[in-house]
Amino acid sequence: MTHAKNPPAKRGISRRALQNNLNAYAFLLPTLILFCVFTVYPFFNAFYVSMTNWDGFTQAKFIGLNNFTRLMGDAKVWKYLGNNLQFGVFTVFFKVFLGFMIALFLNEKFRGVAFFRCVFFVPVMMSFVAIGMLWKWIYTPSSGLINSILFKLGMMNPSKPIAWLGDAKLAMYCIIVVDIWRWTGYHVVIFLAGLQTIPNELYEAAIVDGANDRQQLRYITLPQMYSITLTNMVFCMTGAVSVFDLIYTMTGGGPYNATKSIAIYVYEIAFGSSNKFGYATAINILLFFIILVITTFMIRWMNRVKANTNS
Amino acid sequence: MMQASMERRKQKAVQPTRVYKSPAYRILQFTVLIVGAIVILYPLAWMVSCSLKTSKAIASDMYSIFVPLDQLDFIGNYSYAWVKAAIGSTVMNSVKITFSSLFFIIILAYLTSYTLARMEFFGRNLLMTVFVTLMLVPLGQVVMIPQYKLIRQMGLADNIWAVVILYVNGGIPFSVFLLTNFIARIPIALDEAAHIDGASRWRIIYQICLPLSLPGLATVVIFQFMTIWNDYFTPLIYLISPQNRTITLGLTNFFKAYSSTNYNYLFAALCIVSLPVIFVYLLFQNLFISGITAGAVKE
Repeated sequence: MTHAKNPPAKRGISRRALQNNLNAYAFLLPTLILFCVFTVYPFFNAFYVSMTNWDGFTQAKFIGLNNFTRLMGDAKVWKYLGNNLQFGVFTVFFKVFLGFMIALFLNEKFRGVAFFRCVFFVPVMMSFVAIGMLWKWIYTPSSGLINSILFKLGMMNPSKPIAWLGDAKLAMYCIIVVDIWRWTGYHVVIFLAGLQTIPNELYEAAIVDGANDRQQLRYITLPQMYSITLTNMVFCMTGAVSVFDLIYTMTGGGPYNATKSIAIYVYEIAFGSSNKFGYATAINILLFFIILVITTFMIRWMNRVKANTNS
Repeated sequence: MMQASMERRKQKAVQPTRVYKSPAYRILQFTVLIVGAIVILYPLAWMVSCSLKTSKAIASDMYSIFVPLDQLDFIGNYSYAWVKAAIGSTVMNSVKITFSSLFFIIILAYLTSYTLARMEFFGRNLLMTVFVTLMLVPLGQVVMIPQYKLIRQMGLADNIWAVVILYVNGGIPFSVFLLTNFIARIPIALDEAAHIDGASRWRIIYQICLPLSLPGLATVVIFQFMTIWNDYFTPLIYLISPQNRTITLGLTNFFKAYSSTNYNYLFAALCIVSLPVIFVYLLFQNLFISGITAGAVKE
């Protein structure tokens, strides 16, 4: 404010500007110190740690890119990343689709709308650990909620209960359902806020021009919601890359590693029986770049969409 | 075409501007909403009801959410979970960790946001960009092991303060982003008036701007409360000894010990963990909504 307007002083910077800077940095100091020590330094340190064989006890030895070449050849990494991909594809699609649909249904005034808006958000508040355990009970083959209901309805032979989480083919889908159950409300809230920013005049003009419901949805609501949809997808995707809590409590990665996500693998490498911290960090750096690429791509896409709708 | 639309406008103007939807749409709408609400609420109601009955009553009617009065064992289940399963002591640890973290997050985030929103200094845009980028590209995964190394070198492993430091560090970008936007919308004329009346910078910060920032701070508090209270990964790595366990760790340990029998105790423990957060949400719904939307919906 001040230093921009002042004519260039003799020493290049005015005393007031200097004073302002000093004041500002005095206020920022605690945050900056914390941030540099616990975010900036660890971030750059990660690249060094990934090039060592640090195991937490012996002296770390610099081993160059060995961890990364090992990573390339580690079939498990790619298999578990595939699990993340499976998890990601289904959860992103259903969370965004259901979130949008429910937000659309809740974006008007009727009796009970406040109740529904409130209900869908309740699971978002709960810890993934609690949710994981609750659903583990729901999926229990012998006496779980789902199998009891299926049995009661006569849709299942009690001598051959469906194993759900114990079935390698079904387990991942069971977890995906729980993740959708938990997060849909979150996306409903974001979509609802987005829907409420669409100017009412657009709809009024469309009604005047004789557009029906479907045309209004197609030509007004959907284009206006494009960038919010992409924002929601970024959240889901970055979440899917690093999913841990839910899978760890529900199956621990089993049966036969069918649900093991890459984050669980990293945890096992670093804090399980062996402490291969260097290798685990190398995998984490790979994950960081995956997230970076996804986010950059989505933001580019979002900016292009914005440029198109504005012109 | 213009004329045609003008004529239609005249015709429409007479009609009330009520939203009309076809019956098929209405049927779909309420089917989805009601089925959705049942899918969300039934498991939760089931959890609460199972925490209130004896294990015999649960086994006899697995899917029922009704509690037969003669099978009610509310006090027995909850006191067992609280005392014998040591959920009580983990609740105390979680309370300690959560509230200390919130205390420091409030102070640091408020000071930083005030500076970013109200003061001109070298590097301001850079700092803002860094915080926004950190919201979009979470670093949690990549800094995990270097942070662990650092905490161990500082001798803070298995210490609840290590967890507090990491929560404060992790909560700052989002909180600063939200609060800076909030403070920027408070009219700067108030600050200037106080300045002309001779108030010092500190006085403006805590007597003028702080009371006006309270809604923004409340959103930050509620949001971070939920994140920290529910977190599992950080305590899992750092807190090893049983007396340091947080609520989520206590829950998993309890679950491992009691998974085959005594569902009723387990459900009581689940309720002790989940119901406070749900209750906080029901009290402060609007703050949650504004917290979520502030991060995602930018005009």
